[in-house]
Amino acid sequence: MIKSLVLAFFITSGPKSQVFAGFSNFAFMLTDASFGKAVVNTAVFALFSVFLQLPLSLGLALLLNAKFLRMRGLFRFAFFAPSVVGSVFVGVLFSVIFAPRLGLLNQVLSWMALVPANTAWLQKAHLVMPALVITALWMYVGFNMIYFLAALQAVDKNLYDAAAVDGADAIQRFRHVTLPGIKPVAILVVVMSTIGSFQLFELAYLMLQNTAGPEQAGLTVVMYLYQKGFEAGDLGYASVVGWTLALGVLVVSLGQLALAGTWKKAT
Amino acid sequence: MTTDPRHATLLPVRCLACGADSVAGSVRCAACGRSLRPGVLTAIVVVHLVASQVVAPLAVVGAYLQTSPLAAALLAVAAVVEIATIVVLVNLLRGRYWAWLAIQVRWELDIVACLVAGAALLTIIPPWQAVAVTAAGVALKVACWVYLHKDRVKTFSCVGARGGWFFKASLYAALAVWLVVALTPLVWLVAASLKNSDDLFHYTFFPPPSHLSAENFERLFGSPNLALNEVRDWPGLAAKLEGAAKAEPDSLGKSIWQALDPGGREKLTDAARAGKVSPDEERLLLGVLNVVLARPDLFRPEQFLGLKLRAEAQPLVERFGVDLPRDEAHRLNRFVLEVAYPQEVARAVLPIPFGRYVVNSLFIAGVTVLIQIFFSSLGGFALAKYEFRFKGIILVVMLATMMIPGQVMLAPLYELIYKMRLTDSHLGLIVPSIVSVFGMWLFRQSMLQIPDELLEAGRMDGCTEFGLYWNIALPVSRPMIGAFCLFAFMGSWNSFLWPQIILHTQELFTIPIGLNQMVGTYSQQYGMMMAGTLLAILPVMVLFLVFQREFISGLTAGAVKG
Repeated sequence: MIKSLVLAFFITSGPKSQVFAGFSNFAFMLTDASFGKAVVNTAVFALFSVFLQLPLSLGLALLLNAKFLRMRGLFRFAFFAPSVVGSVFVGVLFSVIFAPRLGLLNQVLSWMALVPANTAWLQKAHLVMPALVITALWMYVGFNMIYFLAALQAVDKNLYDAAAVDGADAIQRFRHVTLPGIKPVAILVVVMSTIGSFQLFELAYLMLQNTAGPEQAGLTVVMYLYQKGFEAGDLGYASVVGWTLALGVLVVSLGQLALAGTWKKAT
Repeated sequence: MTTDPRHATLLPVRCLACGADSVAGSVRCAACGRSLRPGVLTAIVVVHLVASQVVAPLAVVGAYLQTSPLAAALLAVAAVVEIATIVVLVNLLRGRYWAWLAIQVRWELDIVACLVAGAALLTIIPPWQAVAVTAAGVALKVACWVYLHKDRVKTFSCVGARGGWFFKASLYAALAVWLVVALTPLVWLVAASLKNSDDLFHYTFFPPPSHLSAENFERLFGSPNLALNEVRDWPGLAAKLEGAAKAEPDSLGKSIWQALDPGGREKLTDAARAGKVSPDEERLLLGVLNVVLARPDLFRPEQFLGLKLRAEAQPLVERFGVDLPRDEAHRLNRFVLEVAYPQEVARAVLPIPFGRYVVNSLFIAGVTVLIQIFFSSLGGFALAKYEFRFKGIILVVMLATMMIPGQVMLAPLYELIYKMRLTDSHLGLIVPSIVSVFGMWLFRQSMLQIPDELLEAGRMDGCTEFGLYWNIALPVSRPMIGAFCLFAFMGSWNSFLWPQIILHTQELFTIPIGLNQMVGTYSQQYGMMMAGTLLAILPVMVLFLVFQREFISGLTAGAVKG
């Protein structure tokens, strides 16, 4: 019964407004330069965050999985803690961390003589995206790591011994024992974190103080949706953007699954 | 002696202590019995690896940040050369002889890379620094090179020896690095919320204990409406303004100061020094402060909330030019915040009902958690233990909805809630989150494990179907309830987009919305914002500490099994 209510949202949602607009919403979206900007930004963010986050998470998980490791609980807790903090709060926190002069990052980096202490990360168009990627990295590495760690712990230990006896070195063991062992989870994590990055909103919105940042450098698709639908009030247009986002996510995840399929055959 | 077969193709290993050669891959020296595990040589290699593989990319990033594309490009070339060589090292570790030969060439390549990087540095830092850094880098590499050639030692094979102290130590070191990265922002958050506005600029982390203050928290919970006209230390304020105007010849602060007519300026300063400020003068001083502080109302009137003296500020705004570029306004802002009294400035704005936000958030999260647990577990129970038509389809649809981004439903959901007249109310937040598909899925997974016999036995004893759920299924899945409690609580506590859309009245705001409003209005009140953030994440952190085990297993249970 309740389920059908949820379903009803889906059926009722579609491109619509008070006046029947036909496909003009779609047409506008495709020609709107801001939308293009939003898509590019979101794609760049997704690309970087997936390619930076996942190897790092996997690496940490591998380290944490070491047999002799003590204080594993402590490490796991500490690594995971950032992802418990809601992205709104992370956004506020990092908007201050990236602040010029008093921000933690500038203080550390300027101490290392890498950047001047008054670098205004969130006010320079070319620095906004790196700032967002760094923040997401901090936040989600531990989260993804938990999945990898669980998968690693489920891999049969005997396989490693067998491989070692057969003379496989560490890299070979990783490639032929670990990777196939954690593959289902790895695919899940890749798809999940891609979907997550496509939905980037709160982090950017809070870090950039409720704007899209300088030259719209931090405009994401969901932020665009929010601006058009709820700040400007065009609900119909918002749902068009929403469906486009869903479609994009679907296409990308299916593409990833297909890639994973070919990988499966290769190994 | 234990010998590792995969190193058989390597050259013999020379003992650093006695100089005798042992078979490649030996763990102990054949002559003196000392451990052949990594020594000085490895340390050199590792230091060098860190230097080239970590510092070089960092330098590229640094150059990018300084908007020096040429330097960034040059450094990138250097870094690529460096990183390409790591492949050589990896191959070496895998016991290939040619790789060891290749590494001889590597050092020369390295020196070239170093020189290229040096050229890049010339464009971004003072020449003598660039030369010094480059010279140091080249010297390091030459030293490595000489050392290798002198000794012709091939102990590289030992670098990654599993289980050795070196291996363990580097593993702990790597973990510690991320430990620091993960925790530092949180520690900094605590530190920042305990500092007053002056100390925020002076101490990176915690100030000395005597400087710790709870001021930020007091302000959050609305210390009474202290207006600017309660500024006590007028002489100090005037002196600071004057001092800063003198110190920086071309500062904006000075130009503001000078924009006041000279006579008035002197009179003002004198009056302030004497501590007798007439209402008019006070207004003028406050106006100066206000102009500088009032970036939000200069540029975004709708964001302007509760700054007093707004009317008085207007003439000054006009005098100093309304068309201040945003950057300048920021600089003005900073100027006065450093120079004048941030505390007083902050008190000029209305108190924030932060306590109210907390109560709202707790109420909504509490209700949502209870309702979600009830409905999700009920739904999960039905899906796990009963057979009915379309069950398969429902499961598939449930999985599908989990994959579809929630933003798709925002617009229709808003329309629905609007028609139900639930906008700007807490009900509007609670109603859409009654059912959690994810929760139903979790509970289904855990309740699948309840044996059917148990339920049958219950039925025999005359238990109603609801009784079965209440007395058997629910108690059995207690660990899952713990985990889901946290999920649901976090979901509600952290949710931003939906409340932001629904809520308009400040009295109804939840913490995220309230914080967001503070970001817009009090963007320079870092300490206060940090205090608010700290309070906001504390409950979740505590819950996480308590439910950590259940939470993580709940999170990964489905993933690993499926």
